[in-house]
Amino acid sequence: MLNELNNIRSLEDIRILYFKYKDAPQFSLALSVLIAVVVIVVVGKFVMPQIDRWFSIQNELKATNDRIDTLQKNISLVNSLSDQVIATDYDLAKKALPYVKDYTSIINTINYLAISSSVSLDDYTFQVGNLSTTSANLSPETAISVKVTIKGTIAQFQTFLQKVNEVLPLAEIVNVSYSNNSGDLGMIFFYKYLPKETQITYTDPLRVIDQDKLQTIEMLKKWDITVKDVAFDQQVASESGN
Amino acid sequence: MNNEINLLYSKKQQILNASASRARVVRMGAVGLLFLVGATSVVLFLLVISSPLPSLAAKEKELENTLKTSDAKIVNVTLAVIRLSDVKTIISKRSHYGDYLQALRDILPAGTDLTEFTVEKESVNITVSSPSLESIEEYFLSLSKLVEKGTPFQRVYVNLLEAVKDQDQQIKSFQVKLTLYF
Repeated sequence: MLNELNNIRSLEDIRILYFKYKDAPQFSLALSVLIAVVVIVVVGKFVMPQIDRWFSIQNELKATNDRIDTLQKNISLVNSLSDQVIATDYDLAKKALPYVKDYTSIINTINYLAISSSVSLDDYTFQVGNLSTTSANLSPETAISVKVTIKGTIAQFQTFLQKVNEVLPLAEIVNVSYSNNSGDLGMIFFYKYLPKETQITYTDPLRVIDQDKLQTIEMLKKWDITVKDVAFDQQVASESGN
Repeated sequence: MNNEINLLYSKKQQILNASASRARVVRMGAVGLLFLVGATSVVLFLLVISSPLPSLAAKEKELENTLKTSDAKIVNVTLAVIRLSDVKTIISKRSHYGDYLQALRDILPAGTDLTEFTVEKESVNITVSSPSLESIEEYFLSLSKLVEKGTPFQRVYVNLLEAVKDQDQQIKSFQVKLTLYF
């Protein structure tokens, strides 16, 4: 048979050989082996990559559908938000925790605290620090220290201490020393720089002002002394009008 | 006997026939497998090219572009939410020395004064004075009850109890210095 294979010169020779040996077991086995090799090659080169691709497409489909759902929810959420309300809430949040060292607001707040708690205010000193440096801008959250000396009764002093936690910008008492109708206070006023970049990914669920934050906003509104000043001015105006 | 006209297969021929039959079965199986693999490949190819992924990707892009038109609004909301979270954290961590002072003053008996109030890192120092020693004792009792509650003070320590005399060396008042630990 090997001789016959060596003597193949044309297609006709192959055809003759095929009809001669097509029923031979050796031919069937050789053909089966050849087909097996072809099957292995086709599965390895075409079928398996196609299956992989199909699965990755299914995963991508699911991920894309999820992103589309999120985008649709985000769009309906954004459409439901009022520009006016957002601006007011954002301004209030900035008043509570300014982006800069807002010492003008701090002075106003200290004066408001002194007047509303009926204490007299002595000199006070700031430790403002760097106004704008690279390192200051990198600091995530920080505070301005203020030392205040006030004169008043213990009841007035107590009112002052309590009101410190009810003003904007947010402040905290860190040192207290009261005796002989005079109190020395160490206070800090918080601020936090605007992040260098606010990365917003539209396909992530948008952050929302939830019930918890709404409560915080309501609390901040009560502490907003600029509103209180307006109310006070209106009260004075109406009383002088009468 | 001539083998050429024998109608019955010899044993050798029977074995060869059986072997050829098995080989044919194997061959048919192989061809069937090839057909199956080919068909699977074609079906998978059709599934892949008929995927709705491109149209979904286009829809996603379109929705993103819609959302981009409200960019300023989204930035403001995001920044407001972040800032409000920071505000809440600060509020929850702040000290409440005014409330502590009120708690200490609320239990003062009549005629008793709190004259000094100093806050340190882990404690509060106070000075209470009264013309009556009974009032001082009453205050001690009230303070004990306050400390038993555990908020905000965990422990009270009496530093000094002294009688303050006037120019005639008569006892004018009693003064007690206390330290309360958080």
